[in-house]
Amino acid sequence: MNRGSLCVLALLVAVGLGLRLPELGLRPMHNDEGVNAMKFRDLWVDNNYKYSPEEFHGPTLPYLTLPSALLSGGRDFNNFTETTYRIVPVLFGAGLILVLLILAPDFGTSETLWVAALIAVSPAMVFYSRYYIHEMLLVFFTALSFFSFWRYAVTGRLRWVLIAGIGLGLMYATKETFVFAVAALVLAIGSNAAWTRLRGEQQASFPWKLKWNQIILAVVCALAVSVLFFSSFFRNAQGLTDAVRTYVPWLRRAGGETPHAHSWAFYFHRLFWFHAVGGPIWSEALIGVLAVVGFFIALFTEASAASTPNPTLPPLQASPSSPSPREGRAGRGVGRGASHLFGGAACPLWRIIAFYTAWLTLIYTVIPYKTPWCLLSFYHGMILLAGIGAAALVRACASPGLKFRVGLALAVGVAQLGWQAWQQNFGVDKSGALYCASVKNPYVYSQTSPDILRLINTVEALAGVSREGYNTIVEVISPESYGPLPWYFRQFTQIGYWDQIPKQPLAPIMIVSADLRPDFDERPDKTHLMAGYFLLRPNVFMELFVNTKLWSEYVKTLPPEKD
Amino acid sequence: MNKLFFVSFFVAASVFRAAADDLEPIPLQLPPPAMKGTPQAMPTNTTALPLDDKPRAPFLAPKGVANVSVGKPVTASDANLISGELKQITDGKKQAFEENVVTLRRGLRWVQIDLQGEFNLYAILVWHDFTTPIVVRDVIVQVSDDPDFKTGVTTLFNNDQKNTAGLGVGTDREYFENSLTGAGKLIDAKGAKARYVRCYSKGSTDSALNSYIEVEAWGLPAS
Repeated sequence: MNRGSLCVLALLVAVGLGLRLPELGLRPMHNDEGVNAMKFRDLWVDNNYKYSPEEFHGPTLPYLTLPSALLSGGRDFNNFTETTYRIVPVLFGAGLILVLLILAPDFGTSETLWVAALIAVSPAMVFYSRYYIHEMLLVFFTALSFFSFWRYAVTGRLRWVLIAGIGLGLMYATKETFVFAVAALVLAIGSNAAWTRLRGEQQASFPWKLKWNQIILAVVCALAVSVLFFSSFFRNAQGLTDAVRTYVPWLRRAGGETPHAHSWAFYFHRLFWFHAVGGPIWSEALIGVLAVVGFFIALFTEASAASTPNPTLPPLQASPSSPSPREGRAGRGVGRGASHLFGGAACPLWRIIAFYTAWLTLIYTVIPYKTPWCLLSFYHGMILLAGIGAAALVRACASPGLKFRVGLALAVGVAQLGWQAWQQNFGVDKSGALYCASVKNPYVYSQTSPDILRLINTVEALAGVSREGYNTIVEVISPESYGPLPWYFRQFTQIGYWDQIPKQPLAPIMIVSADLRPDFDERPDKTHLMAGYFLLRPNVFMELFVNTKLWSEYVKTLPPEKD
Repeated sequence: MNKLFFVSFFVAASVFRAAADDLEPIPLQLPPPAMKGTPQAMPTNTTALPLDDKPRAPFLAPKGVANVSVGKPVTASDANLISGELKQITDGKKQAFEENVVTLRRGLRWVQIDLQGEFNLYAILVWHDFTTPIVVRDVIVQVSDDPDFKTGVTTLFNNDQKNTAGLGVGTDREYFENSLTGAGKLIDAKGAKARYVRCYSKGSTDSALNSYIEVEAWGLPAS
């Protein structure tokens, strides 16, 4: 990439950060975010983080939150805010653009810039870059590892295979689903070899500049990194066996033993055409269409030595339709009509990306367990293909004028995606409700309701008037997940959580699931009143019961109501 | 020991039976439901239990208990009514028809019934406008033998949790005006002796105005 291209890339990183960074505390913490924040507490406060094979995914997220916590100014866990946590995926989301630099020499400059633009503004990528979960880290480490592995395969340089190995170890230590990406890559390399042979092409299907001793070294790096994280940096030997044992419960979940089982169309519905009642139509169909174009270009374009951007690739036999060596990469399809989209030349990298994306999409589609953020893994592949498609469409234009118009149309489409991303994160609907916490947003899933902030504020105010302050006893009772309340109530020292109503005297403050039909206010002694319903998540209501004396003290602090 | 247990059990059962023999369900005449099916756009900012169309369990009171408020005079904190006449609140017409609704102005308002004699009260029933399932705010029901409610006041129900009326922090829940059953709100008066019944309210989830259809007081003469 030349200096101009690097400047454009830097600008796109800035755009990506501009969409990801503002108002990180706007959306209430999701249940999973709250759980992850409390896992970080184990590390930060007790220095006792242990990997759990049952839940919560890998250790990289808490460990990579340490720099953010250290730089946040305060050392008190209670003072950490949503921003302290969400800045972590934001940086990895933006890093996903920068990591393209590894791939750019072989992928193509214009392709790289289109991909960078699409990652920067893709609503799904933006939304989940502001989500304190493991997914964006997994996608970043996957890109780092696979792109570096490709660079190693092309150049044979040791440093790339070491980075690939470290990336692989980080993938493993981030989320159990990393195995899908690895499987998809292996299948893609095999599929590409079969496809090349099937088409009778003479080119190599993979630049096999591999040395087994270096590969083994990379595997050692991967293992070393994963051992470091899973063992909590040699504090928890059990973590090493748990890192393998974890696949038993996760396989059960993947097989459908989960409340998150959804139809095969779940991801496509959210990505390409989502229209909830009363909400706008959200669509990233532009990326979908461009990805299909890129997929077919990658598959049906015959590679040639002339088109190979990197001279270190093995020599390939030029096809009759290939541009001359002098034309190089820029000559591919340029000014020669649409037929050259399928008759030019392509690096085998494109085909591997095409097959990788197809396999990974298939895997995630077939598995019944689906949460919308899981789409990021295969959607990243789709965006890579979309970059190929966008660049090819512009190149296919015969005249500079047409080229400009097509490029402009695509740029407008990209800007529209950016507008959607902005709306989904900061926009409000007609009733003034934030889209970032609304079921009208395709990427909102089991989201904590903003209504719960009323509960938090009320309980905080009650603690303010209580003689015990944050030592006031609080009971939270719910048969299903009460997250992220533990994070919001992190300052309360005498708080307990039950899945059914405990047989003990009532606490001054009780937050009880409405499903339990609590009737503490109906008891003859009238020690408690029911102070309100609060929506935790869609269809999950909590009821607040407060000791009447404490409530009376609280009421005295309220401003007089106007008629 | 066993003998003692059986004697105790027999005595307790006899007492319970005698008490039960003196009670009977009060013969309420409920108006027809105002609507059927699932209501749309239910208010959510309330402490009320979810609305349902199940009939209320019979309320037991001493035999002979009667609606002692029917036709009795009604006064109010607000002489300037927006609609209806105060006497309609005790006229026995409880259907959710527009012409049966008495509407007082916005803010905290009360209506008061003079039972014209002292009664042991067992149940107070209040029908605000139940055309739709609204929640009336700050409902307080008091009884007294003082027409000014300065002395001898017993609070039977109070869901004014923020004490906006200044009558004390209420510990009762809000409730839906049940348009699916027309059952009204039944408040256990526990035999309180009084001549006057006063009902407060302060708007609703639907309006800042205060609307009533009927108030009934069920009791027996105190003598």
